[in-house]
Amino acid sequence: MLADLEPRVAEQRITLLETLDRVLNKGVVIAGDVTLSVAGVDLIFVGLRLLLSSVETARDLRLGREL
Amino acid sequence: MTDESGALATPAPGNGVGWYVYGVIPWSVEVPVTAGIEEGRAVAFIPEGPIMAVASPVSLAVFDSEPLRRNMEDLRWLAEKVGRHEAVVEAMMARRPVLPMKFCTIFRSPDAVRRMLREHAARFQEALEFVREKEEWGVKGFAHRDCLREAVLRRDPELHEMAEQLARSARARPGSAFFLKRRMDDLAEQRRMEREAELVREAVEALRPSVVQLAINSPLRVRGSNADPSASAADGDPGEEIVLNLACLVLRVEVQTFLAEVRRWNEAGADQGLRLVASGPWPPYNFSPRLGNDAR
Repeated sequence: MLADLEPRVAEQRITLLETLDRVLNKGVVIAGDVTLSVAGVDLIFVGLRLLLSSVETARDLRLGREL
Repeated sequence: MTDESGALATPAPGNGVGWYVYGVIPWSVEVPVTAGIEEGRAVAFIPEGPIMAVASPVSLAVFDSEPLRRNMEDLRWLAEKVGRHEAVVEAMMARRPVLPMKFCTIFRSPDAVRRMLREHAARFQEALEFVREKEEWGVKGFAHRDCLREAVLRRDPELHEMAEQLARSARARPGSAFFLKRRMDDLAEQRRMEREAELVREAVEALRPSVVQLAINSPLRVRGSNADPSASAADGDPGEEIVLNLACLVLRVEVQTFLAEVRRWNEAGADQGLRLVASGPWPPYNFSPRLGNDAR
């Protein structure tokens, strides 16, 4: 299932991380009680990043590919 | 499509719909029809004075705090939704300034969205004016450790001296050669890090003239997280490491100059050990305001 998330080349992989980093961690932040749910996003992203990268690193090692 | 009275009528309470806001744009009648973050629910526009929110209804069974927390653990779900969020913002960005919202900024009703727009109207307008005719570009710096180390060994007189000393004592006194070698390795590593930091500063300064505003973010680690910067050095790729992660706000008319600067750096410094890679144009995620009391 994670295979679908793996970009094909290293720089695409970085761009995926960049997209996630921007959409999850940046952008307009509204504080206050009007919003329904924004909490916990940072935390989950760190976990995601770890997971994504370890999957990819495993794949890279297998393919003997340079970053 | 933008029939506010009909399409945006507040859903009856209890029907489980929230309003997902993708971004804020200047008021306009010409807006693209775009798919929203949920299948079958197109993007609608919620105007308030001179600005409007780009939004779509979302099912609270999926996007309320609890189910959202669970759903976000599903990486495939998360990647798809992040992609859809980004697609909506990018669809807006072609012809007008847009302030992208952080992922999953969801309101209880279109009225709540309008209240938010009213409350922060001045900040939104100011920020929209600021990003007008500008693009965000990412620039990442990849340091090649071996390359940097070699350059340092070639150029540093102290290291040079140690290398010669080492060559001499390797024959005469193998015991002290061992410790000398260790001292030399430590010094080389220290000099490599200094050189790397210097190159990073130089790269930033090389780009600064073609950039309106610059944000230096912590490097996106391919392994490990920003919370643990040592992780990547310890077990990362033996070749390159990301040591610089910039967000640059660039005037649209200056983009070619800016990209030429990136190319020039790479051509001039191919052997220096710091390679730059640009990505963009992005919506101005890094140049959007954080609003409210506890905004970070």
